Amino acid sequence: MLKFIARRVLWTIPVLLLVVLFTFLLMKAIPGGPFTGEKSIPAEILANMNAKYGLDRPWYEQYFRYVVGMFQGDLGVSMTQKGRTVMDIIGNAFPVSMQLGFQAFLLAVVVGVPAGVIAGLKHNTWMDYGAIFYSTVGWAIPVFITGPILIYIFALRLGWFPTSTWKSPEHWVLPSITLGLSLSAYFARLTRGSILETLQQDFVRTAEAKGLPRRLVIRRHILRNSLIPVVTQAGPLLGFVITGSFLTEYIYAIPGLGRHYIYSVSNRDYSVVMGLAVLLSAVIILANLVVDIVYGWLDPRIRIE
Amino acid sequence: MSVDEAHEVDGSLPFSLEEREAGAPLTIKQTTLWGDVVRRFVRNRAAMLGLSVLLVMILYSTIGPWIRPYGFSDQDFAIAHQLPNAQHWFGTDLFGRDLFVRVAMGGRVSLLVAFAATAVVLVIGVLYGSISGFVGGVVDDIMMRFVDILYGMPYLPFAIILLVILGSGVVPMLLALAIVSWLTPSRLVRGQILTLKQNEYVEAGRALGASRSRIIFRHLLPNTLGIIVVAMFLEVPGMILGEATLSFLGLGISAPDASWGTLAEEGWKALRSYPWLIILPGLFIATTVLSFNFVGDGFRDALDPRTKEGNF
Repeated sequence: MLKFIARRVLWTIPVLLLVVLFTFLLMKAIPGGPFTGEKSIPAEILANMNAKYGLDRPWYEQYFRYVVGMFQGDLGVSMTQKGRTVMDIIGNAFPVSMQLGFQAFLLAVVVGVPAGVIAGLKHNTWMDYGAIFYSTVGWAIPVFITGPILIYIFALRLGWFPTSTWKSPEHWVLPSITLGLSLSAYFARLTRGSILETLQQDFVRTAEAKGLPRRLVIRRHILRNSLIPVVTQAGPLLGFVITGSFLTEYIYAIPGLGRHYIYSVSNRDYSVVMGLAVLLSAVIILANLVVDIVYGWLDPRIRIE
Repeated sequence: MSVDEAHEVDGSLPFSLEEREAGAPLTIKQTTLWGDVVRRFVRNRAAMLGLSVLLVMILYSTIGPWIRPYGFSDQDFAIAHQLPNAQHWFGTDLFGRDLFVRVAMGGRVSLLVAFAATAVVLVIGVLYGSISGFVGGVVDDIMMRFVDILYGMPYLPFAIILLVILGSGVVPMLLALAIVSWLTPSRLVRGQILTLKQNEYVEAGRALGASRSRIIFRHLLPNTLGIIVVAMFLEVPGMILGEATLSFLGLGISAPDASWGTLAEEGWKALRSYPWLIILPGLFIATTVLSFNFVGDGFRDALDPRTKEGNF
């Protein structure tokens, strides 16, 4: 097991370096430099600026410098927001996105998992159909539709919550629900499928044949075994959460990573875009690592590869 | 399939009772693989509903702009912001443009982008996956490690960077979507190839001296077809959502072209006074995505009835 973990952890280093390289090359492929704008800049000044940011060096040297800086916690400076480093921006935006994601995730687990469990246990009853309806529809309606509809009803019409920003707990409610809604649909679907699969296992039949009370069978045999696949789905889920939080932050004007990303893309602030893309990749790689290790721990067959 | 199994699967007997009573010998009606698949699919109500909705959607997007006497960008401020009525079946937008025509045109772009991007992804996925799975060894290792690495790049941020590089419009959009979505199909195809590689008919083919490409195209691909078809159907809704998301963020399809995503963006800007403008494209996106999921799931269940229980 230790060897397995060590191998997985070591593997993340080349993955991270290559992902940074690909991102770096993609950023280089964007037509126009960071200083091409409406005003044309005299050639000497442009050369000076390029020299200041190290943009006059060959790309591999720039990449090398970037990676060295990255491991020292230096992702460069913003090219449009004067005096702000990319790390500054991340320091402000990351906690906001984390909080939004966490609240949405919590909501999704609290609503989605029980809904899926009940649907699976009460297979083919109205409760099951209700949960199916909820999870299918909840999954199909994109965040950029639910968000505006929630804003319209609960902020503009009823006036219960503010329409945007992220200042007080009042502001947290609608964004968390917006992002949590489709996540909970996903959890419900996943949990239901997993429960139905476990119900057919021999050990469930054995437990029931032994005369164990239904409650005990559900708690000890069915729930425990069905929640494993739900836990291990966290990897692909994270990509979805990132997409969802980009949209949610955009809609509610929340100063998180997604909003900074979109803002920086439209302002051609490439050092910020690069830094945020690298950060999000690192988060994904880390999550995949954790999922792999958990998976290997749950299922020993995975360890021998 | 035995009589009992056939009964188990769809509740029908593989022979007619009247003929049996008339003393006919017990003969089992021969069904082909694809005949079975079609029958099971047709019995699935959600899948058939989804299929009908999709056909209506495609029909509407195709002929919708022609059945109403309004141009795609005809402006008339006197009739701006109308709700659905007899003249404008879906109402009008802030410029007084007819939404029935605009949503239909948006559907063309959205569906076209989604289908085209899916097609590109399938070509890449099938080629990449089958080469990796078939060649095996070091090549397979390298190709799959490459996929592993790309899995570390989050979907939306990279689609956005790609769009900035490729520019806005239909073709850049479908390329960007394809480039960020080919990983999972490739893995799937490779997995299929690996299981099929162990089958005897491949060995037989090889023993008879069939070339590699012949084995790939005549034996391996047809046998993975079912799973690829399902993957295709389940890929399309993701593409529709991806396109809509990027366009909603103002990064994809831009004026004068419109997709459901850009219509949603226009509706978002007018939310305060005219929520209908976002509800309408939202309905179309959600209904289409839902239908694709139903059809895809129906296909999967029809191809392999065993999967039916655990999923929906």
